[in-house]
Amino acid sequence: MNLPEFGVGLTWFPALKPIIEANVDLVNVLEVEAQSFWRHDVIQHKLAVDDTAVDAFRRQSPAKLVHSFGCPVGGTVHPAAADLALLHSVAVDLGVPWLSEHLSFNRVNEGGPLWHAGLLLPPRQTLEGVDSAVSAIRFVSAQVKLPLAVETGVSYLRPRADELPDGEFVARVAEAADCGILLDLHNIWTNDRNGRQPLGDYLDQLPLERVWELHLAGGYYHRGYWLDAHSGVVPDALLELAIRLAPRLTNLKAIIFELFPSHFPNVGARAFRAQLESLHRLWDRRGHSPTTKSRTRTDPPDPDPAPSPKDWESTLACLAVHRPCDSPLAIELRRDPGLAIIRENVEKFRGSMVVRTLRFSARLIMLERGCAYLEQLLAAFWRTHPPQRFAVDEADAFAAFLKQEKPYVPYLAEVLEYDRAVIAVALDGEERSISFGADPLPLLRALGAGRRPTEILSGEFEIRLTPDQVKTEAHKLSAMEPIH
Amino acid sequence: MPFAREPEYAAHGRVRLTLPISVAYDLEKFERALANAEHIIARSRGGRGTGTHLPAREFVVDPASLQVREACIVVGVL
Repeated sequence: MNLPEFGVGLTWFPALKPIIEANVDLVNVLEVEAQSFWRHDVIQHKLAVDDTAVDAFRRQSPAKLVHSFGCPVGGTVHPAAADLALLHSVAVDLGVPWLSEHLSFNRVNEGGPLWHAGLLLPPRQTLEGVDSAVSAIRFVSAQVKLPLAVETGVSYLRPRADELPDGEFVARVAEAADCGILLDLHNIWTNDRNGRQPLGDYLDQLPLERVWELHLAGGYYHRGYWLDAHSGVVPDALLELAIRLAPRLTNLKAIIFELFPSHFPNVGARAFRAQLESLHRLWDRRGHSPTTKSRTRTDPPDPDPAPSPKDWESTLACLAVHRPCDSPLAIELRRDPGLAIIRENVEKFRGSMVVRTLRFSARLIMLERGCAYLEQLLAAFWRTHPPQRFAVDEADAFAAFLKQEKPYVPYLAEVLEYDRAVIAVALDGEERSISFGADPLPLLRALGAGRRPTEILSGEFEIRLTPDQVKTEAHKLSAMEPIH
Repeated sequence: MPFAREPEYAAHGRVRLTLPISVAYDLEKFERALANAEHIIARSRGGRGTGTHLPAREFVVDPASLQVREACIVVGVL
């Protein structure tokens, strides 16, 4: 496929702007996650693209690429057509030559309403799983009308005897769907370190001529697992491996360094620049002539072993969010210690959505009853409520749960109403009033400062929240956020 | 645990604070505005004397300066 070459770039986050400007000579391309432009329109109850944010991003100087995490193509549930229309819109607005999406799944169809697993989960790696993924890739390609590259995913689960090796699964999908590959080397490195297929074997199974894009990142060990945390520079050993691999990548168009902005201070400006320089040396070593190295293949079992991809997705997603599930597969997967890592990732993400949205309520619960009590409430909530894609929806569901459960926390009902009103006014611009039976000034001031409220006087009070022209950061709460 | 008792100004009726959303969402501005509000409400309370009774009082935060002023009461608003 004749695609343009970009060079070395970064995953775009607005907080990285000054860092990018300081290294503009080393940043050829910015890759943005399409969902960072999606907003949950709380008035019309639908998703929309934030055109202002797209315009602002378009004005950044380097070339652009669009990556997606909201329409994964590894499962039996096809992405929603409305989501793909938004993805297409962002891609067209930014004029990108291809899109990339994860070879994972995140939605489950159990016959009722579809629900979200809260995390990108590894697909069922069988021939039927290949067929499902190929079907999803064709569906997405037809909707977005651009070449698609599938990202090689991370899996914290143990390898299974009844599944295709990781590299072979990706190879079979990419060849059958005739699509590109976004080779996330850090994901494969993570899988290798956590006991899955050795990275060298994985690469030997891939059709490397289909690799258009390389992702590199850093991580760290947590509870015995290497995490794909995008938390630092690329480990030296992984970079050396990438340097050896580069001449075999004859259609490589871009190398993207993934770093969450919150981790930049740990990296530092000097190491960050040195990282970009090393990635340019890697880029210079990319291959130019087709290679003839044959790929290793394994014979998959025939017929396809149980469970089916649909059962796999339903069971794994249920376990990830603590929904009841007692199938033989569930019993088996519960014995996999990697499940705890998946659950922890889902819970951290869901917890952060609540704490950032219901800011004062979360603080009030922690200050009055302790962090452990808030964790207990969240755990009870998670067991009965599936994850939401947007922080505002997750927070609304948790607020409704608290109203029903009525935990003993002084002033919680009023503070909860206040938190919800702040978000609602910020998002829809409609004025709201909240009545308090106690003086909200010392109460909210204490919570704002992270202090336990004391000596709060009773009386009749009201806070009226009014819209104004100053743009708040609240719009971010209506956006989807990256979690891979 | 926190405790509740009647504040002096509660006896003077309902107190309403109008807060622009840009102040409410920004914790730093929020803290400054509420500190100003507490000061102004307490001061105005002292200035009215014990014989004065209003059914309601309203205070408004300015989003630019974060200063708080007491607004005129419109009967029936609260």
